[in-house]
Amino acid sequence: MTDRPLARSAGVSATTAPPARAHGDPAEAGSFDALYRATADDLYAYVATLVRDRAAAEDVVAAAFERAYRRQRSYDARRGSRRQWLFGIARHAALDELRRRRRVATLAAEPGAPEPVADDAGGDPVRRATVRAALAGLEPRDRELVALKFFAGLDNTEIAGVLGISPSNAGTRVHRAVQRLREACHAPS
Amino acid sequence: MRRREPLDPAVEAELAALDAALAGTADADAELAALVRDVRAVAPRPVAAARAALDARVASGFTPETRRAPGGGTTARTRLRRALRRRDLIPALAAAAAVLVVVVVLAGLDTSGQNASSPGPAATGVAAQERGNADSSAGAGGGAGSGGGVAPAPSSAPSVAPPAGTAPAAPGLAAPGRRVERTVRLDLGARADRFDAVTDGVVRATQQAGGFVADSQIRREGGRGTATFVLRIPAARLDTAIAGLSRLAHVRAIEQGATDLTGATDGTAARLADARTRRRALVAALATASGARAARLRGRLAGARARERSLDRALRALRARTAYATVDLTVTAPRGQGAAPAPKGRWTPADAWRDARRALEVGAGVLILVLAVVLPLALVGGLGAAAAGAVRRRRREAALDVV
Repeated sequence: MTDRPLARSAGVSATTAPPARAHGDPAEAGSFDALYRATADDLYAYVATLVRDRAAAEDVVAAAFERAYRRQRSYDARRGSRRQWLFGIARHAALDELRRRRRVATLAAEPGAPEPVADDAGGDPVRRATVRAALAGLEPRDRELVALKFFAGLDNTEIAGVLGISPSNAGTRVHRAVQRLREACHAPS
Repeated sequence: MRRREPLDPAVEAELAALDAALAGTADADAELAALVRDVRAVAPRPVAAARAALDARVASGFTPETRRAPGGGTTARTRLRRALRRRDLIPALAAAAAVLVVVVVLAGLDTSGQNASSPGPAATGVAAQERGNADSSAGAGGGAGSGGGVAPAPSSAPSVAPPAGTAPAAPGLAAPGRRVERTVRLDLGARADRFDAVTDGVVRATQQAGGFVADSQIRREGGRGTATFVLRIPAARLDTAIAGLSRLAHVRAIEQGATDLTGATDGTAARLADARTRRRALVAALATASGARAARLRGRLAGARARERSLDRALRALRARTAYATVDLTVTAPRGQGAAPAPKGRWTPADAWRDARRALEVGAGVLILVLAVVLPLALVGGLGAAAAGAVRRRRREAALDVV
């Protein structure tokens, strides 16, 4: 394992807890370009975790950014951060993509290229493989919560906004999902 | 707004520890910190080419070539969609809608204004009724002793009003040789300050037509005036007289009726001729009779004379009905500046005020009608949209269950 900061979106060194983003977060700075640079990789990680298909994730991320770009005026700061707003848009796009794939599905057995990950070079490869397997074994809803918490760096209130649930419910679900992830990581393979 | 429910303290503490690990604080739980590092390390990342392509699209402001028309420009549909999305167009669209409503209302006023200022009938229908075919009933039912009680069977046949300014033509029974009883009901609206002039004009026009005023009642209360006339006008000059009366003031309504009494008149005349022949025969027979037979003949002769007189009265009554037409005329002048525009087409401030008030009334009526249609539709549409949104959300969420 390595102690260096995790690879985040360009321009964002650590998109983690809300206090870190509360002041001077480029995503909240105003321009769409800043929002894009601060969230592009995180958004891709979240969407790819949801749809589990690289090409589809690229399309969904592009569509989400385009929708957000066209709907910039609809953003209301009283309803949450820009980051939360963007991830909400991406979630809708991703779920629509999943629905579409359900309809046309069954070609799905495409082998697909190996999924590039943040940093495969360093750390314990066995441990990473274990974590990847644990993530893949989670229920989709738990996997989404892990992605929103670990990849997107949203706090529980923002996650609640993205999922359309109450903050306490979001906290409970995040806690449960992390518990399951930890259990899966410690489970004998 | 969602109610903030308290979390279990143990859960809250573990979430706080997780947040600390995510924030990378020094006192974070070591295991959680390691988990955060490991999970983030396996985060999917876009390939460089895809990221570069997305960078380029963002830099260009998302101008997708794929949505361009073959000629290089955007499609009309795209342009329309973008235009409709622009919120700053809403006031312009609202203004355009308001202008449209005003134009429609003014157009309606213009039409009614033309009618109101013309001397012809402004009120809706001139319902002329023909009560024809009196022949059959009179011929069959007008038996002996019926006298003037001729009851022609009415048959209605509404006709269209004549154009403004012209004397209303007699409904189609005015053919030569026909005996037609004509009735007219005429409502005139006059300004209060012209009420007396109009009522005087009624009498004058009647006399000029050779007719007479059979009855009249004139009432004035405050600024209001109402006059009712029963005019008897020679049938041959009725149309001219009506045209003259119509020019006196604004015609609010006119209704004409015509009853064909040809059959009844001819039948009564024939029966009268029979009665006379019979009387003469009785007189001749009586000249040669004597005794009891003469007494019987005198009794029958008295009956025959009575019948002859009765038929003669009936025939004269029928001829009088057809020789003169009856005109029921009403002149009203509402309180204030009058209800009708000046007959010469002058448009006064009072008319303007009335038109403006009418415009507001019409506008309010249109608004109420629109709301009556739009509100239920909006309600149904809102409920439908809410239901569709709920279904869409549920389907989206369901997509996660099959991943």
